[in-house]
Amino acid sequence: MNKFYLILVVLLLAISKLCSQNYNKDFSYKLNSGWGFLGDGDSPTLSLENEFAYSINHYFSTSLILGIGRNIEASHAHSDYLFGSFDMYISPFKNNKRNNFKIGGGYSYIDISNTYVIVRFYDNGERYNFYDYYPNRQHAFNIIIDDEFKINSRFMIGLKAYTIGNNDQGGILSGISFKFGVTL
Amino acid sequence: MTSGTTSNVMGYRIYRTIANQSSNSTYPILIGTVFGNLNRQYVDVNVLNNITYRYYVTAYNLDGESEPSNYITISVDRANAATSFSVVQESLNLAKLTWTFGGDQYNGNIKIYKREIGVSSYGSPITSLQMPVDEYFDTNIQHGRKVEYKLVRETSTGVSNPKYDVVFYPHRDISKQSSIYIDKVKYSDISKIESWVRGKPEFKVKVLGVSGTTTVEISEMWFRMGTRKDNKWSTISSTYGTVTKNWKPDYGRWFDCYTFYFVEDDGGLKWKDITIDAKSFEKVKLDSTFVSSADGVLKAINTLGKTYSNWFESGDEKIGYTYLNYYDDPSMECSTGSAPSGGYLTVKYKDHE
Repeated sequence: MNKFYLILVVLLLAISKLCSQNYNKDFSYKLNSGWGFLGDGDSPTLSLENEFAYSINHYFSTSLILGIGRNIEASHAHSDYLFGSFDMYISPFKNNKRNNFKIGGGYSYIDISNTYVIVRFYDNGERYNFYDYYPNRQHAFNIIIDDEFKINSRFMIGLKAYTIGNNDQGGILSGISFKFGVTL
Repeated sequence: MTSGTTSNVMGYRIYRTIANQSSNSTYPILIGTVFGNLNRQYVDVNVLNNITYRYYVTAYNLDGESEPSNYITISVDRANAATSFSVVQESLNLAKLTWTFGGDQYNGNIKIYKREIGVSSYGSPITSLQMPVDEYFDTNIQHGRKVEYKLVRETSTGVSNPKYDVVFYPHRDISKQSSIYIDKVKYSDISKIESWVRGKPEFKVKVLGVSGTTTVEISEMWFRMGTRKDNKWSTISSTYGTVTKNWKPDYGRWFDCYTFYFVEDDGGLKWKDITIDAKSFEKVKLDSTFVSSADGVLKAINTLGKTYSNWFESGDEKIGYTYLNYYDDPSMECSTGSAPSGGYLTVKYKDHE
């Protein structure tokens, strides 16, 4: 418990420091959330992403994303997923510090936990259901189209569309997320 | 055949004629001679079935030939055929053949032949048994084949009329409960049924048991392929692919055939909303006089499933159906034919985990 309070204090100090310092314009943190579509089971999902971004110059940037999500509703399956991505972006119209349109892509590793319901009938015709767990872990590529708009010198909002897939599985996770970011 | 005896007899001559011809109009044929006055027997080996012969003998010596003896009439009858002949499969590699003959038909040899239906010759007998045996166990079973057995009895008067029985040997062990699993699936052109964004295809399967003209819903299965590569097998775990473990004649719910209806699941409906009209099934039965069942209940039936238009709802991709007869190879591959959107699904079954 003491460790928890220690971490909390450190985080509060860090936030306090962020609020008082001259921000490093190159680093930013974004919280992304939106709707997705999971290829395993063809089910819609809700996703939440933590994105840490670094702007290399006016044209190039990079980011590290950790995302989680779960499917919204399906009659036969429940799925949760966790993924990490490393991406490179290019801003074809230059990052003008106000609006930044980016196209990017990179590597993703995604771990999906699926639980399926299976319907059976006993010999007497009585129906019963049972559930089975199926994990699916994949190395994949991702493609992202992203647009960020700076509200002020510190905060930004944005919208991004993405897809994660590979040659064997096809589309694994695709979606659209709203972004809320802060310059670190 | 004997004739009177005299001390000066040197031997006897045997004559034969056909009984249904007038003895006056048909000249008797000398068929043999025996030497010595005490040698009074002769075996005629040149006779045909179902013909009545008349015989007489004469004695002869150096002075000449005697008058003919009295005539004796003999009918050469064919060996009687078996009054019954039955082949019953008892286990995977064992069939019992049983037969009966009339009470006075106890001599000769039994010869049993067999051929696969469609083969135009029997070849050599599979066994030759000395009467009065009345059973034989065939351990050389040809699974998945329709086999005709032929039984004849050979005696000194010839070969009997044959008796036949036909058995359709299943691959499955008729004495045990057998299983059906969906082992693997592959699709010829996945992009036709599932867009890239949707990833791998998922299939809903409606399993129906067919017995006679009755169709019973067995299970509702759901599984997804492991890949979206064309023509690449995806192994289905037994958790998802188990259809039944109790397929056995006279055990539980018996079905001649299991039929599998496949749709590619795009979330178009929930299982509970699916309705399947299975009234369109047609069954083709072999003539019961031609096929003998391997069991009293098990019929040699070829079952054809027929598809119809309203067994799925919009939102999913109709794929097609396959079916598996009890007599089919449990490890067979079945294709669904062309799906409306293109391509075909191939399903491989198995009977063990």
